[in-house]
Amino acid sequence: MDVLGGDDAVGVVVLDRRHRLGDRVVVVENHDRPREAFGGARRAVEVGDERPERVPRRLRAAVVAARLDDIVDRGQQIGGERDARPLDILRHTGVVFPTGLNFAFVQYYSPLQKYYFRRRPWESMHILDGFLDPWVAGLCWLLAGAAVGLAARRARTEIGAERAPLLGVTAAGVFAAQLLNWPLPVASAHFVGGAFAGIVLGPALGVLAMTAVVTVQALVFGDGGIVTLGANVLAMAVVNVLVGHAVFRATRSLGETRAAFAAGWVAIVVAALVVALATGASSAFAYDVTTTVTWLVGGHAVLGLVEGAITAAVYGYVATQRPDLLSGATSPVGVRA
Amino acid sequence: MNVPPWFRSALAALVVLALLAPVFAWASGAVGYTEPLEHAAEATGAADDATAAPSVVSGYALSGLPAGVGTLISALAGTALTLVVAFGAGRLLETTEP
Repeated sequence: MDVLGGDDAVGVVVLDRRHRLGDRVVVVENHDRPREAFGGARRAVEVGDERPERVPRRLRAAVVAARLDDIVDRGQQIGGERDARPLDILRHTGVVFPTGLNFAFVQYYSPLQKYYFRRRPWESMHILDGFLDPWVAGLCWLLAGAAVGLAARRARTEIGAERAPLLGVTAAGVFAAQLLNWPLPVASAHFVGGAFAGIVLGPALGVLAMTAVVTVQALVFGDGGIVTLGANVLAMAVVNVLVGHAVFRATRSLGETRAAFAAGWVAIVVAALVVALATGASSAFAYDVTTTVTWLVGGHAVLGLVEGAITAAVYGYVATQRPDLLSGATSPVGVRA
Repeated sequence: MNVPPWFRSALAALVVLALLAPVFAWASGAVGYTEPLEHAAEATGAADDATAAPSVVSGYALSGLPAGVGTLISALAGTALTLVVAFGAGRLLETTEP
């Protein structure tokens, strides 16, 4: 068992049959099915539990504290309260420092925190496994697969000279830029970049660049699911790219900066709509398409302004510094001159 | 390998972007980073159904390393890997004439 973050820190353990709770750790929250765990008789592991034999096979992860003395009393005291959040418990123990800074440090910097530490164990526009019904995920795979196949076919006529290096650099740049989570209150976002890729590389190469990004994220970093990879490719690598490219082309007469801004903004909203429809059509989201559309489209309509601004700024820079690289998008759009 | 003259400065820009990743991770943590999809999932109960897909590295962090260092290594490695994959795909397409 790994207690991550050092002897005096809280951390997350991922439990499987090889793992046992030891005498230095204590369960603070059962992360298998938080609502069930806190809500009723099906609680699999007791908060405050430290007995090895109590770890069931189905429990995947638990928030634990390494400083047993600090946590046990408070944990047992608060454990019966349904809405007790692990961080609320931990903050009262001194294990997590009570300032926002350290709170955030532990919350975000603990290894594996992304999926296991928080009550809401994910933070991404990327759709996680478990979010989509099988038929929705399958349909997305079909559509995404067809689009990527067509893009690859068409890209063979567009690729040449400097396009392969540019394809690589654009994809890598989008990957790195997506790691930059813009810290905005209420709802935050990171640059998605599909519109940018579509404008710079043209639709076919843009789709391939974004497919590379989304696939590496899912397979190597667990950012987005495997079953839902089709949906993530469809939203971020196909729809985001094609809509961005089309909007840029349609609004270009207004000026390239404005067109790039509009492309970034509209494309992210439409991509969010695809995610909203896919999740809203799935049982995990209770088929509540109104809620998913409201949050995703509404949220990204605002956050998309940042996407549009970055798209316009970076496009403007590339267009000024290296207009020759943009030949794919600037002459007959999407086709190499 | 045959690369255009601008390639070196592009690589430098990529490294700078990757270096920024831990900084942004800290900053977004300080404000409580939440995306619209999270809110929708929370509102509909989908939060309980989320599962982490099996992956080589989970959440851009490496166990046993300080978090900022893990994020940085993940950013550098992921950016390099994406570069290789996309560049390689491009070269492959070049060699398969339509």
